[in-house]
Amino acid sequence: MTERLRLQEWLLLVLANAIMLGGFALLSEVRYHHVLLGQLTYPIVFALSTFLFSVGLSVLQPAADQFIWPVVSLLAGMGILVVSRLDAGLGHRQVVWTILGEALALLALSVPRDLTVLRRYKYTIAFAGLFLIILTIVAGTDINGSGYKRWIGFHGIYFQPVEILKPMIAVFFAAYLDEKRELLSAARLQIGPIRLPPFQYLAPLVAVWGLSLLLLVKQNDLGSALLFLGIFLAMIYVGTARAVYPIGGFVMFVVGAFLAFHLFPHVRDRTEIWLDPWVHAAGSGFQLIQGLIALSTGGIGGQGLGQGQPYLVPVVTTDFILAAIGEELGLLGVVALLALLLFVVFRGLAIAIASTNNFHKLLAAGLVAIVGIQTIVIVGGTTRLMPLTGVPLPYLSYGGSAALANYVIAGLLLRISGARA
Amino acid sequence: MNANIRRLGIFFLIAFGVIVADLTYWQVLDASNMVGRPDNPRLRLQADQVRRGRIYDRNGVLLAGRTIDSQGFVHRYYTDPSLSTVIGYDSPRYGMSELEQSYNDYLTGQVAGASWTQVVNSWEHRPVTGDDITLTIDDRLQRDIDALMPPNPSAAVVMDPRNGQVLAMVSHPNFDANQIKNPAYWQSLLTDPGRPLINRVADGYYPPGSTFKIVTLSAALDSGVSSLNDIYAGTQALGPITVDGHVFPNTINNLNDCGGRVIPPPITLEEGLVCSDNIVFIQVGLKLGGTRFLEYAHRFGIGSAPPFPIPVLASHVHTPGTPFGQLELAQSAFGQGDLHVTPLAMVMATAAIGNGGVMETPQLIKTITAPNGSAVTSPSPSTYSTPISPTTASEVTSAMKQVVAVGTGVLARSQGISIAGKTGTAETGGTQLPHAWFVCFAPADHPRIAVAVIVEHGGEGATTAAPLAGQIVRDAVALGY
Repeated sequence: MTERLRLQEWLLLVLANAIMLGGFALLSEVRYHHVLLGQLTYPIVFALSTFLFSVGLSVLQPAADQFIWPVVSLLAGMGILVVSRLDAGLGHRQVVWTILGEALALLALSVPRDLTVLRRYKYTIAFAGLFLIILTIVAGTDINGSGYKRWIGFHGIYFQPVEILKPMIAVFFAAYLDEKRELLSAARLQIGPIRLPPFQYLAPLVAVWGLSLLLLVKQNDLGSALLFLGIFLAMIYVGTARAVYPIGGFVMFVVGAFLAFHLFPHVRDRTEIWLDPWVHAAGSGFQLIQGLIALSTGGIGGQGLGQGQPYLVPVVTTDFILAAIGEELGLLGVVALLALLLFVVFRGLAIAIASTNNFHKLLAAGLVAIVGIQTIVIVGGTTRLMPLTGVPLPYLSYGGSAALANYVIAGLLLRISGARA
Repeated sequence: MNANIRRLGIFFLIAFGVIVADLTYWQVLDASNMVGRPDNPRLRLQADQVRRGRIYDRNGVLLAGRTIDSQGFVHRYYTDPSLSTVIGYDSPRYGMSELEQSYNDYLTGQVAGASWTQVVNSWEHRPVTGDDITLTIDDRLQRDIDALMPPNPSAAVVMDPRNGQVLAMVSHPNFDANQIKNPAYWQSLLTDPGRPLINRVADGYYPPGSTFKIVTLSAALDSGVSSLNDIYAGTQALGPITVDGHVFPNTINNLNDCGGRVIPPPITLEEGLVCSDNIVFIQVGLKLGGTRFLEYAHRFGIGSAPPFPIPVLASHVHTPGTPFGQLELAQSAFGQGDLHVTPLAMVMATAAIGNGGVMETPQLIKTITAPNGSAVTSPSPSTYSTPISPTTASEVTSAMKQVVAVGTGVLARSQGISIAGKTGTAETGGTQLPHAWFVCFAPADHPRIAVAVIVEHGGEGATTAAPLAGQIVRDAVALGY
């Protein structure tokens, strides 16, 4: 039973929660010149929930990786801290969403009894995902006035299907590639120097390409479009070792984006803001430039928690959470959190390598690709490396659907790591 | 498959590395550039929260204060509009002026000597508190003079000759700095022909007229070319006199009405001053010679700007590098020619004569006090120049006493106070009335105040400016000066 005693995880959880609670104590000190217990209620509940989850792991997956959970908990805790600093009410809601996410992850640890059974339902999952997107386009709600219907729900409870779609699509690709990887690796079609597999096996690639463009055009959701394409390309590369897929897929996306640039004004606007935000500083480039100013204000060490003015940046709790972190925690704080995210990615890849089951390998790689690519897309968008696209920073941005999706990812990774023995 | 997973890991490592490099660019390398952008709302937020230092008069009367609203923003208010061109304004929209501008670093707490408290405050992100400034101005005298002076363009300045401290400086018309935030009011100030934004004491630029004769006389006595008892007879006193082909007309009127008396030639040099006889001073100037005249003018601070906490125009005597001809010398000797002075320059010259020939640097700041009450700096009196000897000073003083006692300055005469003064009527060309000047100091033998008064296009110095100066002296004496 020594295996059930997850000592490393407990010690790291103590450290992670101490950092998070220390941050809340600091915030209370800055705001009220006292550490008020009332300010610590929600974070303490969250801290307890992380230990409770660890107990759950001891029961359900005693052999699971002991590093992922404390790191994910620290990231989520820092997210709750920064969101609470910006908007205490949102912070409370984020705690609730995160605990719901933990419950969902706990579910993912044990259901279904055999994970590989998901392979059988891959098309069900794919069509369910597609249905969700179409439903959103048709019957969704535009709750923040962006001009696009991206939410589904009623009576104040809304979720973003595109977030739930992320782990779903990783499961589908893992199952599809596990089945077809031999066929996809073999080249039958020869077009000049490029050798391609038979056309019918390329259909999913074309489908994902279509889905990306659909999201881009119908939802103005360039971020998710990039993300889905990125996950697919990363996974097909892992599955087939054929560089032609990532390169070909990327070329196709560029072609599609180029067409979209000329056909759709909102795509053109975004690109122009990216190329020259300075001329639009007071208008469409306002958010980007204010985000950069917030980052610059932080400098190396940051203004200190609760001591900057990150609320001056538009949508700072979600897409621009990085600007708030950068302003108050500085480059050091941002790099520390990025290092934790990269650690999750690397740990996930190590789990994939250690796994003996190809479906598990592909799924683990796909799940961490979601985390890694999403981080690159939003941080790169904030710092003007690429056009700004609204995706949440994993585990850190405010967002209920995103929290649920991220915890499902964490749960599945833990499960795969535990199943390898 | 494992090799591909490792390559995927390398891709993420490189991508994260690029992101961190880019973040380093924005957060460190280009940070000051971005933070300094005018569209950074933090800059204004911080500036609006600075507890701007208060400004007091020499007796602790609040002149510029601050209120802090519920959101922590600081608002400036001013209590005496007559000081609007001394203290100036601090407007988010229109910038700063005068003391608010020149002492902004003190007022916003940016001057070094950062105390431990300030360091802790900056760590704690507490708003900065600026230093308080105490002026040498006596607001009681300031308000008296403000009420006394006519509303049309005019200026008056009172200085303590012993230490150069400015006790009052009034410039009309003035404005209400509290209303600067109103754009319509600001526009009206910009278009007002009376130019209320100008401090006429420091930045008014006028020919000194006959008040300048005290400088010419000082130069002539100090260099030994003349004495007060020199006799001017006939046309030497009355004119006309021709210099370089220019005829200066007869001045019989000055001698026929010299403080109500008739002074027939021959007259002494002292009587030439008492009756403000241009013909006499033309001859004194020519006798002195251009080089010595300019040298003494410069010794009296004419031709340069003294150090002063608010912007001051440099007075002008003669354009250097151009020939200083006999005609210009003759005209300059009685205060015309190319001469242009500020009232501040004239009060300094007057004070120097009263102070035994020692000209003090003008002072406006008495002390600057840190928020914790400790003195940041208290400027001490310093000698700016020593234009003439004490003997010369006392001789000129005795002549100036006569001006007020029995000469052109009789309307400044005050019961029980001995005043030494000089009138001036500065021709400005054209058809407008001349500027009316009066400069004086009192008590004449040990002066505690020196005064300069000018009323633009006010007519005769004797009738317009002298009574104002006399009243200013009486007000100052009543306040204990």
